[in-house]
Amino acid sequence: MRRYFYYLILVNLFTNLVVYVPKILISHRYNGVLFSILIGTLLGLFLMYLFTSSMEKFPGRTQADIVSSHLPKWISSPYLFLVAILFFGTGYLILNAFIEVSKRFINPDMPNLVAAILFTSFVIAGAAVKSDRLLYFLEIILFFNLPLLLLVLVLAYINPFLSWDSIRTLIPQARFQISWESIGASCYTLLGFFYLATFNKFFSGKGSYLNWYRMILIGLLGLSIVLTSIVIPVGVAGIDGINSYVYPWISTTDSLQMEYGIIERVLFIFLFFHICISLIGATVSWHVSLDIFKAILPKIKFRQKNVTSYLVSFVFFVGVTTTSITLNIHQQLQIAKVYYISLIPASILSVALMYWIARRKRA
Amino acid sequence: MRNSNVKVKLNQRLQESFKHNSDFIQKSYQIGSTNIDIFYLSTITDTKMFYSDIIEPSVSQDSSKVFKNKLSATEGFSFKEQPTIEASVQDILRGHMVILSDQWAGVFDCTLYKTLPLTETKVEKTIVGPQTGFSEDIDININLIRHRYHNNGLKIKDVSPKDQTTKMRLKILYDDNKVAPDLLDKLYEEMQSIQKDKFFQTAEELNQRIIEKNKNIFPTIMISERPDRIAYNIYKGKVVVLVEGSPFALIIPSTFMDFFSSMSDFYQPYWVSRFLKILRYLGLAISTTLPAAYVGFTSYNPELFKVELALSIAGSRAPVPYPSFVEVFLMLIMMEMLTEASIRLPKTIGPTATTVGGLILGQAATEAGLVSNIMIIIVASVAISNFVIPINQMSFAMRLEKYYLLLLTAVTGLIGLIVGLMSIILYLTHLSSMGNPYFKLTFSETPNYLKKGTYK
Repeated sequence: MRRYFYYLILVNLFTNLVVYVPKILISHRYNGVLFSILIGTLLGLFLMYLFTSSMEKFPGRTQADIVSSHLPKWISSPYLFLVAILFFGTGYLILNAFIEVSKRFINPDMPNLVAAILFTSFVIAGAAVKSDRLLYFLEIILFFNLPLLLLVLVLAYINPFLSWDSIRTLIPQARFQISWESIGASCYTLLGFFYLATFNKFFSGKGSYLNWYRMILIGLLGLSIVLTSIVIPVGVAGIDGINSYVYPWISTTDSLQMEYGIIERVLFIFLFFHICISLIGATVSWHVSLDIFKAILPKIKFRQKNVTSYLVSFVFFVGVTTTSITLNIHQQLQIAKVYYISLIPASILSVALMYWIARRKRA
Repeated sequence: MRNSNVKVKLNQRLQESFKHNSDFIQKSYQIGSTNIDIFYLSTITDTKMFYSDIIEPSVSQDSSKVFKNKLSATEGFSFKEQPTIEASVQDILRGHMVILSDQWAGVFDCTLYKTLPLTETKVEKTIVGPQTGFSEDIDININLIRHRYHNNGLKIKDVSPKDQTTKMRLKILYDDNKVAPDLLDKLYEEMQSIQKDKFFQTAEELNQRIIEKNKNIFPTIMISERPDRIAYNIYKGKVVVLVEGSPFALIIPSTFMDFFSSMSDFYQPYWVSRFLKILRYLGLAISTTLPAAYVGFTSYNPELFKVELALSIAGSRAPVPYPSFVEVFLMLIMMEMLTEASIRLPKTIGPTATTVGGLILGQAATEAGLVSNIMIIIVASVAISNFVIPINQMSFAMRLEKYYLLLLTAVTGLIGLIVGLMSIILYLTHLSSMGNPYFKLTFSETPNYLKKGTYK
């Protein structure tokens, strides 16, 4: 079952390619983005180490379960509520970005509302599935999508029109100045370990999630994916030109070509990957969110059945569908920036709390 | 064998070894002053001659000497100086009769082979390998399984669902050393909960009863007519249910991948069987997604293909007066009609229907400008690739899936196709077969139902 932990990390790594992370990082390209990425990745790795080693102390238990049994209810409930909202936020941002993308690049005839209903229904159905089955699902989706991503990346790097000079101009910009937005965005790519909040219940055996070489591997992988996410758009569109694209990655992959395939434009392969990863990423984060909500909200009975999770799902559904038709892309981007900035203190706090609880248990 | 103590011991151990076997027969006779015990499995032993020619005259003359003489003069009988428990069990499992008297022991070879009513497999055909399938007689079916599984771990139990009207004989087969006890408990529970006054008479219907509560689209319990598949699955720790009068057996639990395995995979070279397996999954992909993909490409995203291909599709569609969705739907329905009709038709008229339907109708439809040429190619490849799936139940379920994908794609374009595919995968992973996961990327060598006690 251990391997599923890495899938959770991977899926979060890939979702960063498809949401606002490249856009945010690129907007800071003159602003010491490389240094911020380094700090963000190291921060992410450090948090990952602390969190996983704390969760290992509680095999087979969820975060909600651990926190509410170690803290008084008046702290634990609001705290968990906030955590659940943040998990909801991840899925929310992914879905909204994806609705916008699907309208612009795949099917312009489809109204936002129809797209929102289609995707949100799928994600809610997926979030309601049992946790272990969701992990199997995740494995299958990754199995089909990893080769596609690899293909896109290989085609992007061997592309003769990739200008290494443009990429080289990034390096002098790496002064020792940092921006919270880009630290938050690059740290976010490694925060997949937070899904253990729910999925820890399946990792009940002995042994640890991480050791030093696995951590280095994950760190290198994360760093290379985050770097790739800005290097390729900059290399293809130029360090100034890239600013004129709202979706740097989609526009970049549209400039790639496969001569011998049935499908000529690499864009469509990337879009396929985009759809799958967006949906699975949103599903996993909403599953965790729903799980925490179920643990802290009072049980509401309707005809002898507990309908709390249905009500929460309905709220999620309404949340996405209404904002998808009222907010535009720039407002969504603003929400995303606020979210990523708030994610840094929130995740540090959350990890510190878990670490403290784990230490107290040992003492 | 002088020592009757040994005999008592052997008697006990044989009974112990064959407990939970409803076809295991143990009989005692008092002939003259000697006690005689006989042991055999009624389903694979031919006892008629033994009773009429040996037991009857001996009992009527009440002479153990007559019994011994008659036996030793019969073909197939041999005395055993030192009968061991292992040898006796093996003899019984091969359809021999073990006879223990106070003074001697012997084995009588009177194996019953029921071959006459057996027919070739009709649904799961293989090119090489065993060709006979189950018959409609439950004893013959057990005979076939026993002849493929000579191990006294094999248990055969009678079960009867509560309040069942038809009082069909049901038998549960499993290998005692391999099966998880929890799985058996769960199965008994399910059998008990089969509803009162529900009429059923075949394995297929029993299958529907068991999974009825969930209203599944996909078959979660496999039905097979091949004794070799049943023996293999028993060896793999699964439980098999036989129903009286039904030439099919249920295999519990089953996984999605089981439905894509054919027994001929075992009879082919490694890479050949791998290739065939890939072919089947490819067939699955084509038969479910191709119609929907056609609608998505032609109506929503023609820019996806190379220009030449997009143009040739558009050119072929030029005379067609309605949207691609209607075109696909019409042709698919015609194709389904053809498939259904060819199942019902007598063998002699069958080819006529396919010729008229497939060739003439398709040709005429394109010439009349009702459907495009490419559409005919798509419908034909969908129909053919659907039958690549080796288990009939699954290919029928997949026939349904393409309409779901078609509908989603018609409404929302290619995104609908991908979301639809993902939702099918999600649904498959959500399904359980008797509590076990139905669809995973990899199933470990010792799945949950084999690890005793870990069954959820």
